[in-house]
Amino acid sequence: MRAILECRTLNKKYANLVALNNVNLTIERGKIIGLLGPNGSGKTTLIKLINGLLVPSSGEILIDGKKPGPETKRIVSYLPERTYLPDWMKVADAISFFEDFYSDFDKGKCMDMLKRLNLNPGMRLKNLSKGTKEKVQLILVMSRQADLYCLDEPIGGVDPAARDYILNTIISNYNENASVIISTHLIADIEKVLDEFIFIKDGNITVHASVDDVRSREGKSIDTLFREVFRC
Amino acid sequence: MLGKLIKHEFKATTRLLLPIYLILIALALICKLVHSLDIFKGILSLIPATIKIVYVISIFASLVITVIFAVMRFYKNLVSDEGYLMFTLPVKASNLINSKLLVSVCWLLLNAALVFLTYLFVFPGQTKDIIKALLSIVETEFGSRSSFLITEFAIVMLISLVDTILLFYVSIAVGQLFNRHKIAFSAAAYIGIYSVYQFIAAIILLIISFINNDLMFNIASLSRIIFPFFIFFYLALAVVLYTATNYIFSKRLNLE
Repeated sequence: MRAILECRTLNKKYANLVALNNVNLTIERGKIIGLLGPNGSGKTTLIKLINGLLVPSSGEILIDGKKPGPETKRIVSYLPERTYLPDWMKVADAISFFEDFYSDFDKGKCMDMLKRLNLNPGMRLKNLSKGTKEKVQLILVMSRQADLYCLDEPIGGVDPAARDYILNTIISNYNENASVIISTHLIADIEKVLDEFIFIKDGNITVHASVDDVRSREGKSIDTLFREVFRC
Repeated sequence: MLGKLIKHEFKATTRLLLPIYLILIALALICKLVHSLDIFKGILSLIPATIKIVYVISIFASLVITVIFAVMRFYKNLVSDEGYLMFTLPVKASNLINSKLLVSVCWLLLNAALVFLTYLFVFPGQTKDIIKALLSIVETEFGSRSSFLITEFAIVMLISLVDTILLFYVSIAVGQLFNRHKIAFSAAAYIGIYSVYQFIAAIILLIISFINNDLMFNIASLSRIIFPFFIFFYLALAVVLYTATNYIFSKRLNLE
């Protein structure tokens, strides 16, 4: 089966900043991958390139063998690091929006998750706290049966109890043909769900390895390794 | 997918524009009512006069708000945080632009129709007189060609309306290419593009008037040269502006 994501000598430069430097990366299906790095290391840039919100300066990015476009957006479910739903919408409006545009959206699953987190579809987004909005967005994104999930800081703003539920949702919701990329710096919280991890520093991918390999070889957690590698 | 985009575009815009148009209609009704009651004498005659002024202001306000709202909606929905939602939908950028353009033109036409109809309702005699006078001028000057002239004029107005909106769209598209000061660069792009096309139009008109000496003095040239020129020019401009907007959003998207 074709890799779900492939980056070939991918570069993204801004006026006086190299955001991604010659990134070569292949992500297979059926994995949960942690995209880990300090602030400003290029995590969000990579995720935005996957979703076609930015254009590479050079190199290539392929999702299921195709360049970002309507075809790839159909199979990628993206959670940005900001609130992107119009605030005049009710939760129910956002649900019908997703239902209209994404054929893989499972409304039943979405309603179950909302209920589980005590969220009422009649609520207006404007009146929700930042953390609650993040929960709503994550539920919408995880209610799709996508091939690739790109979650940019999915647990940053929510309380630890909801964090556990969200992580469980992520692992239980994706199927064996799908992969999940989670960008975060809260490594300890997500470490237990990861199959692979990627360390990214100043736009360079420094490590891409299996979590189990590193644990058995180095005898330490990814969190500890991260603190060593990225020591200030 | 275009149909769904249009549906959601109407849903998002109705909630703001419908109240504006209802206010316009309400003011027209109040104006009519007050004018039909012949009870305001002396100083009290200020009341119908004031209400008439408020109604006329609301006509201009509604048109200005509709245009400003179309522009703000385009910016907010595509280039701010909401752009993350819209540009990750499995649709082509051209359909995002088409849905917004179509819906904006619909609202502007509805707004124009409401202005005309409410004015006709409030001041029926006056409005009919103005229309009659205009028609008789056209009739005497253009005779059998008058309906042709009116059609040409309507086409010019419609295309220039589309151009007005597209000029905002392309400016916003250009502005988002920059990593900072996106709004300032959008404004600069607007002024720049506007100046360039006004300049080009002026040059072409000048050349035509050199070739055809009586252009400016012969009113018949209006339907034979001036209107056809503007139809062609505005259409060409629309194609250029649309293509540029679509190119930038399809190939050069740069969401912060």
